[in-house]
Amino acid sequence: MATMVYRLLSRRYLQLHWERGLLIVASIALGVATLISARILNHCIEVAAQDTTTPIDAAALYVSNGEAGVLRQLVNEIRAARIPGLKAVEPLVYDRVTLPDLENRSAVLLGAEVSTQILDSSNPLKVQVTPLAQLPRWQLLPILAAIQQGDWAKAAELWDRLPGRLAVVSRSIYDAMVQAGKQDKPLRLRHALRDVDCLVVGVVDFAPDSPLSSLGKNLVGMSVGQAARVVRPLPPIGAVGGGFLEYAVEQNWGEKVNRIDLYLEPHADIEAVERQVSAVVRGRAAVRTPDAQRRSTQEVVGGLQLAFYICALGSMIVGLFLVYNAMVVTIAERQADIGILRALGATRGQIVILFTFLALVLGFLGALAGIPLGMLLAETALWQFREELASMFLNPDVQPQRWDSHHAYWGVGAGVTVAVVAALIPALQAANDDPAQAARRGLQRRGRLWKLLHYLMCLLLVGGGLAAIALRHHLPSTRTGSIGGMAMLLIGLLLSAPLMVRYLVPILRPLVQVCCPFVIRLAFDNLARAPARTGVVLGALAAGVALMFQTAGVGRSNEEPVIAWIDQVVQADYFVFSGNMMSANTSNSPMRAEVVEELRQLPGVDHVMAIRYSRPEYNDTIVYLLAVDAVDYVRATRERVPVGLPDLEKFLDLPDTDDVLVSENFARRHKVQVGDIITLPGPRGPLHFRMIGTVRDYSWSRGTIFMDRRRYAELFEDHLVDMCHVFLQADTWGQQAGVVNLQNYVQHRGLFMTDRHSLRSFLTDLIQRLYLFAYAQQVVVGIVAALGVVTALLISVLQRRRELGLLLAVGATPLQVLLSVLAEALLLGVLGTLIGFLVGLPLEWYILQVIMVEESGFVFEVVVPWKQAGGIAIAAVGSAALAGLWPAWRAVRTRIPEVLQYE
Amino acid sequence: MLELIEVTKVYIQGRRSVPAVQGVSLVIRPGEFVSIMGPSGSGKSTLMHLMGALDTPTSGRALFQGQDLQSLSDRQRSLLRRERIGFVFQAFNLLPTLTAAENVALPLLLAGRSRRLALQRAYECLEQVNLAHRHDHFPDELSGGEMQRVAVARAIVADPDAVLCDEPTGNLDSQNSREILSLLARLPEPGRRAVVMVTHDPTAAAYGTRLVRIRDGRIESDTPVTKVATSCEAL
Repeated sequence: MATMVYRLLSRRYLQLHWERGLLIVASIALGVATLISARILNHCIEVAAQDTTTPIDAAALYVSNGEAGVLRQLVNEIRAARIPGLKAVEPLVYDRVTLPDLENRSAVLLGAEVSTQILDSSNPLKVQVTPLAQLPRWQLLPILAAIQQGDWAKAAELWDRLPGRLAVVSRSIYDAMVQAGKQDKPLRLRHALRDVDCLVVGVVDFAPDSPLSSLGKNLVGMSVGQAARVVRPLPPIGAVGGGFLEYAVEQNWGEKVNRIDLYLEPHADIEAVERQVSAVVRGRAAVRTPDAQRRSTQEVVGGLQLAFYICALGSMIVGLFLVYNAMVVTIAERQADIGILRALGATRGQIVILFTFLALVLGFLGALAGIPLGMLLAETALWQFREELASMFLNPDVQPQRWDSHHAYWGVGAGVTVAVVAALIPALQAANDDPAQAARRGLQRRGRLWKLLHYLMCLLLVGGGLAAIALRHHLPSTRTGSIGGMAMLLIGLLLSAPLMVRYLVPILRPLVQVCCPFVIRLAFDNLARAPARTGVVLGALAAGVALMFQTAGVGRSNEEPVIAWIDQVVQADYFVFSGNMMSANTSNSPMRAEVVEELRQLPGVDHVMAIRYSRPEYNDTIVYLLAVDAVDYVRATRERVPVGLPDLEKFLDLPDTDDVLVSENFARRHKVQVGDIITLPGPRGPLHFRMIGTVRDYSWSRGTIFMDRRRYAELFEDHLVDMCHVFLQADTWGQQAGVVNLQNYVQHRGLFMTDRHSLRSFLTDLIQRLYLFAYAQQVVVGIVAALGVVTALLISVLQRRRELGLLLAVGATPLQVLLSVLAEALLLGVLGTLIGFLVGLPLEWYILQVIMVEESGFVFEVVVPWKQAGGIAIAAVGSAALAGLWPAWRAVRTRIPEVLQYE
Repeated sequence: MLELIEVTKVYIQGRRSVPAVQGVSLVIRPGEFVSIMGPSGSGKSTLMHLMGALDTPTSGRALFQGQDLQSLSDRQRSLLRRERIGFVFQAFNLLPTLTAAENVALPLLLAGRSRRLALQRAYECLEQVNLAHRHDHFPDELSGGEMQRVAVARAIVADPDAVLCDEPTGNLDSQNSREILSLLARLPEPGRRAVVMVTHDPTAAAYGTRLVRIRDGRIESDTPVTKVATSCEAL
C-alpha cells in the first residue's frame, strides 16, 4: 500500500488529536532519555574503571600483579625464552605526578623502554618524538652504537643509567614551559611529596589512534628504569645515608614496573604464547589477555551498570504500557474508521500497518526528543560526581567521550521499537475485527485467544520471575537470577494490573457505595468500567511509587548503620593527605612514609595513624586492602573511646604477622572463615595471609582486608601512604599547639588537611548524592506514570461525553463536573500509591536481604521509611490530581447540545 | 451477479442465538435496481452484508459473479469490496480527517494508485454527483445530503459491478432523499452494474425496479416495482 495513504490518515489524525500524540511522544522521550543517560553513564564508568586498572590498553597479553607491580627482571627472562609468536616485551611504569613549576599541573609519568618504544618508527604506542637541542649527544654515543648493532636490551640499560633523568614531554606541557620561560630549565616532577628534576630532551606527538591518547595533553615520558625509581621509591633507610648512598641503593634497587605488555606477531597463537610465558614467569605474576584483565573490574562495575540499565528498562516498559493504553483507546475511537476502511477493501495487513505506522512516527519523534534529554540527564549526573570521577582517572583532566553515534541509533531503535511493539497487539486486534460489526459500530468482542495470551504472558512472567529468583544459585550467574528474576516479576505484575483490577472491583464496589460520597462513587464506577485502561495506569503509578519507596527504604536502612560506623571509625582530630579526598582514597596522590614520622614529631600531636589503600584482585573481583598503623590506631582510639569499640582489640594481633582482619561483608561474600588463608598477588608472586577475625566495615562492596602497614610495606615493597589520621594531645595547650603546628607543616609541604566534622560531612554528602541520583531516575518513571494518568483521564472524559452532558443538562454545576473528573484522578493516585507501597515494601526487603547481601555481603535491617513514604504519597497523589486538571477542564467545557444531539 | 442460496445467519448474544436471516435464496441480475424492504430487525442489513462480503453466512452460500464468497480468503474478500463492490451507508461513514475528494479517492488509494490519478478520478465522480465545488471540504463542513452524495461518489469511484446501499436516505430530509435516490437510480448499467438498496421506506423502495420484502429473516415476496404501486393503490 502506498505509504502516502498511511501518511495521509495518520497526519490528519495527529493534527486533530495532537494532545494524544504529544503524550505518547513524551512517554517515549522520557524512556529513551533514561536509556541514553544510562548508556553514557555506563560508558564513563567503564572507561574510568578500565583506566584505573589497565591504562594504556594496547597489548595482546599482560604480565601483571595488579597494583602490586611486577619485577622488571621478568622482562629479560621472557625475552631470553625466545617464545615463538612473541614480537615485543615492553615493561611499563605509570603514575600521576604534579609539576610544581607549572602551577602544580597534573601529569602522567610514563616509563617505557626508550629504545624500542620511542626510537622505532613503527612503535606500537604510535608516538613521534621530536628531539630538542638539549639532547646531550656525547652521552648518547654508546646508546646509538648499541642500537646500530641491534642490541636493544643494552641500549635500554645504558639509557636507564644515564646520569640525570632525561624526559620527553607532550606538546602541551612543552608549550606551557615555553610560555613560563622555563624551556631551558630542568622540569621538576613531584610524586609522593618528593621532587625530582629531569631534563626535557624531546617533545611527543600522538597519532589520533595512539593508545596514549587517553593521557591527553599531560604526558611526561622517561626510560622505564628512571620512571620506576620515581614512582616506587626506596625504603626510608636509603634516605638516611645521604645522597651518595641513595644513589648507590637506587642503582641496585630491585626495580618493579607496573606491568609488562606483550605484543604478538600477526596470526600468533595467543593461547600458546600465554602458556609459555606463564611457564617462564612461574607464578610470580599473572599472565592474562585484556579480556581476562578486565574481568575483575567488570565484576565491580557490572552491578552498577546493570542497575542503570534496569532503571532505564523500567522507564521504557512503563512507557510501553502507556503507549499501549493510548493506542488501544485510539483504535477503539477509530473503530468506525476501521469499519469503513475494511468495507472499502482495506486488508487486515493494511489496517495493522496503518496503526503501527502511526506508532512508528510517534516513536521516532519521541526518540528525537529523548536523545538530547538523555544527554542532559547524563551531563547533570556527571557534573554531580565530576570530582570523584576525575580522581579515579590516571589523568584527571581527561573527559571520557560522552557521545558517539551509537547512542543515537540505540535511542531511535528503542523509541521506535517500544512504540511499535506497544501498538502491535491493539493493531492486530483491530485488523481481526469483524468488518460488518465495525461498519455497524457494534461492540467488538475480543477473541478468547487474546485474553488467553494475556493470561499466559502474565503467568509466564510472574512464574518465570519467581523461578529465576528461587533457582538463581543454579544459574550461570546468580545476578541473572536475582535481578533478572525481579525484573520479570515486576513486569508480570504490571502486565497483570488490568486483570487484578477486574477482580478487585467487585470486592471494592460495595465498600465504595456505602462509604463514599456520590462524586467518588461516580469516579469509581467510571474507573471500573474500563479495567484494562485503569489497570495499566494504576500499574504504572504503582511502579513509580514502589521504586521510590524501595529506594527510600534502602537508603534509610543503611543510612543509620553507615553513619554510626563513620562516627565510630573517624575518631582522629585531623586528616592529612595530598591532592584531595577522592584522589587520596584512590591512591592517585600518595605521600612518602617519612611524612608519618614528621607528623609524629610535631608538638601537640599525640598519635598518627597512616593508611595505605590498595585494590588487589581476589576471587575474580577487586577488593579493598587497608594497610593501617594498627598499634597507633588502637591506642589512639582507646583514649578517645574509653568504653571501647567493637573489634578494636583485634587490630593488636596484626603487627609483625601475616595475619589479616576482614570486613564482615568480605567474609560473607567470599565465604571466608577464621583460620582460612587468603592469597593476594604480590610483586614477586602470590602472598598468603591468615584470616583471624572480622570487623564491621562499609568501605567497599566487595569487601575489605585490614593488615598492619609496616608488614604491608615489607611484603608489597610499597612505602607510600595515602592518608594520615592525626590525633592531637588531649589538653588544651596540646590541642592549640597541635593545630598550629599541623597547619604550618601542611602548608610547608604542600599538603591538605581536614577536620573530623568536614570529613564526616564529605562522606555523608557523597552517600546522599548517590541516592539523589537514584531518585532522579525514578522521578522519570513517576513522570511517565503521571502522563499516563493524563492520557487515561482525557480518554475517560471523551468516553463520558454523553454522561457529562446529561449531568450538566440536569443541573450539575461545572464545579461538580470538574470535581467528578478530579475525583477519578485522585482515586487513581490513592489506589496507585497504596498498591505501590504494598509492592514497594517486599521489594525493599528483597533488595536488602537478597540482592544487597549477594552483591556486597552487607546486611542491613529493613527499616520502613515512614517520613519519606508520606512525602512520596503526597507527591504521587498530588501529581495524579495535577494530571487530572486538564482533562477536568475539558470536561467542564462539554457543549450540551452537541453531545445530546448525538444521542 | 449476486446470488444467495439458502443462506442463514445466526448471531450469538450472550447465551442466546438470534437468527437474523433464515434460509434465504435470492438472485440479483446485472442491471437491476433491487429494493429490499422490511421493518427494523427483519434482517435486511444482514442480507446486504452477506451479499457485500462484509460477513459470511452461518449456512448456505453467497456467490458473487459465480464465485463462492466463503471460499475466498479475507484478503480476497477485501479486494473484492475494493474493486467490484461499492457501499453507501445510512450514517454516511466518511472519514472525518479526509476531505471530500480524499474520501472519494480512498478505494483507489488503498489499491495503490497514485494520489494525482486517484484524486482526478475522485473529482470526476464528484462532478457526477454535482459536488465538485466542495471537493476540498471536510465532512464536518458538509450538510447531510452533501455527505451522502460524497458517499455515493465513493461507491462508484472504482467503477464497481455492484453498489449496495444500506438505508441511504435514513438520515436525510425528503428533498435530499429524492436527490440521492435519483442519483442511485442512474447507477444501474444494463448487462453490468446492479444496485441493491435496503430501506424501510416504501417511497424510496419505489425507485427500484424490483422489490423484495423481508420479515423475520425470511423473504415474504419478490415482485417488480409496478406491482407494488398497484397494490398500494388497491389498499
